[in-house]
Amino acid sequence: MRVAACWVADFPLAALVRSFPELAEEPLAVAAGPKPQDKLVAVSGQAQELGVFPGMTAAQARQVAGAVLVRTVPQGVEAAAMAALQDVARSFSPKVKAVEPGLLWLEVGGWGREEDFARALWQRCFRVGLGVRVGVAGSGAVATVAARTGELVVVPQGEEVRFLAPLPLELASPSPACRDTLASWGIATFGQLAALPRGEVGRRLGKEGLALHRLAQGEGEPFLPDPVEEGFREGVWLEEPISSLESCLFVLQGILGRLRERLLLRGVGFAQARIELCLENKEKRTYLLPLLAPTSDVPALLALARLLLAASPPGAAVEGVVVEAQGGAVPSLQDSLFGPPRPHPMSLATTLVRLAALVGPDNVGRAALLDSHRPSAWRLAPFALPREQAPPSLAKGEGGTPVLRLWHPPRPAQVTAVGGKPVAVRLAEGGGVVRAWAGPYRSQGEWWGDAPFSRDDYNVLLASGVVLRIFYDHQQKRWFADGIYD
Amino acid sequence: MGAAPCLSPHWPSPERLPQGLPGELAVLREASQRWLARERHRPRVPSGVEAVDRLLGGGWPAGKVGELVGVGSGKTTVAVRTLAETTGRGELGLWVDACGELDPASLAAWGVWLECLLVVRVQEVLQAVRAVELVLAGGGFTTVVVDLGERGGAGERKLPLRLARAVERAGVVGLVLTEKPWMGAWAGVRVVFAPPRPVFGELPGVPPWFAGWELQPVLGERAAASPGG
Repeated sequence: MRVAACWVADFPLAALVRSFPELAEEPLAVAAGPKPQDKLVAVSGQAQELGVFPGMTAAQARQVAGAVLVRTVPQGVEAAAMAALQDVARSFSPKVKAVEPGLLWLEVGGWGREEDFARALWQRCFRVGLGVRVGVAGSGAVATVAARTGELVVVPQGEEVRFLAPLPLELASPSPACRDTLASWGIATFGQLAALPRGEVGRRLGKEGLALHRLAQGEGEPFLPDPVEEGFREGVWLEEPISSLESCLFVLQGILGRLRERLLLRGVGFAQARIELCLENKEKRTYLLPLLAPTSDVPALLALARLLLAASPPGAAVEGVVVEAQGGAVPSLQDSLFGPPRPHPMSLATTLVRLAALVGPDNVGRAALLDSHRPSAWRLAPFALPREQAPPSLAKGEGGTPVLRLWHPPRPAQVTAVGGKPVAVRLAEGGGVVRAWAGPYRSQGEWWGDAPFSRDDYNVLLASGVVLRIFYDHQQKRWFADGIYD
Repeated sequence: MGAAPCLSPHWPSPERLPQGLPGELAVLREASQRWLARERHRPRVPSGVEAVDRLLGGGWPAGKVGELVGVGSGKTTVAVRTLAETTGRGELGLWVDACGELDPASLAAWGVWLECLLVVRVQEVLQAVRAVELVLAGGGFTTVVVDLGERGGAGERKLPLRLARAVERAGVVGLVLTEKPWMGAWAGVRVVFAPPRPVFGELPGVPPWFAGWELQPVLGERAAASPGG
């Protein structure tokens, strides 16, 4: 088995720059820990040139070089960067393991030259905004050491011991205690450690020493790959809350762009996207983009988000923006020569959002009949692009009862009945003598729920020439009219 | 349509009249003939009701608003049957409900594919027109029905023009259902329904049933020229 190690040096710094690309050209340092003793954990090259180094406190760094930007990594940024790295790795191999923040292993196989594999992996990591070093060897541990020695390092099969021999033990990141003990013995390289008897090393240095010794002798164990996590999540927490729509959209644009790259690595687009705004007052507002079909069109998504945010502003300054996405295969949108015309899914989604802003989201959709015996029961369901062809079960209306114009709520009516037959109907708007009638048609149901119904429907032709639908409600014991045929 | 012919902005002087007027009239005559030819060849969309198609010369003219006027007269049935024709082919339709009297069960019974029908419920006529404009601007819809009910006759005077323009730009079939004429001169065609003749079936031993009715559509007062002209 051959394993590639993908390592991001100064991972907190790289993750921060990935989420905030505008910081890439600045002298930057990342601090962590409780203030005011927060210490620098990663420092960029420009900051080091100004005399700032890891281990300093943030206050010291600001005193040494005021031009250095000292930042903490906001919540979620490192996780998003690690997830992006895993997405890249999974586009090469199904067996991927996240070892620690900024380091993952993946099994290499079926790629031909390993140098080409390493280069392709290195290039693809740039697409998701991460600069990496890649090492390939017979085990994950050796590959990790190789990655720490150079940008693209391939250790030939069986050459692990010879490769490691002259290298310093610091490349394996031993604990300070282990390192000091080995230094006191005069052991500085892997070769020197490999020459020691394993049993003695294990007795004096414990499990860590044993692991180092196995590494020095080029041994490695197969790793257990991580399960694939569905869903994509990226977020940005801001140093200063923002309150303008344009600023919010600017942040959103970056997030959607990064998510798009990760989705493309799996060959999918945005099938679902949920935007969560974390507000200054500790509340959260969630917006679900109403996508009708998977898409990779970030400007269109941004336009949808703009409409949603403008129609329903968050109501407070925004401290953080998080987007969760589900992937889906982007369909081909070429219209059929013989099929009906269709709007572009993103264009229709935008139209639906605009309509919802105009009349309210509860007043836009498609009519869906309810599975009920209650006459004319229906609700508005979300509108989606239908299939190309009508279902074969579609009724071919050829004559029959005309269309009813439904009155909701039903209008109280006074009905004069003789021998069970309606002879006159009076409503608030009018009425008249019944010239002809049809019925009764009894319907009842939902007796197990809160709104049971039992009614006898009649179609009555009035002297004025109109045909009404009236019904006797057995629950309320009175007559109503609930529509006119038109 | 070609450039609108314009008469001289000034009152013709006696010296100009003999030479200028015949030329102006010739230009007007040619423009009228072009317009007539275009109207003659305008696509027609069958309504699904033979009596109405006969009246309209084949169906609803595409790009024009057809206004259906009446109370309990069959206008909604005609609109629904038109939708059944178009949605049955998989085309998308829009129903703007300004009076809250939509009965989807009736639509489904007449063969309307409800998945293809976008329903928008509005509170006022202005919202109805705006909704039509938004949907038609996005494209992909071939039939629009605006059900004004008793709201017909209310609202701004420019709304019929806006509706007519939106329908003409999109080249779709637009139908307005109203109890009283609303579109005015901007209706491409107006169909008024005389009181229909309902048919109640009767058989011995069987309760009577409402079997339908015979529609009696009549072409209303002809509308003026196209709103773009």
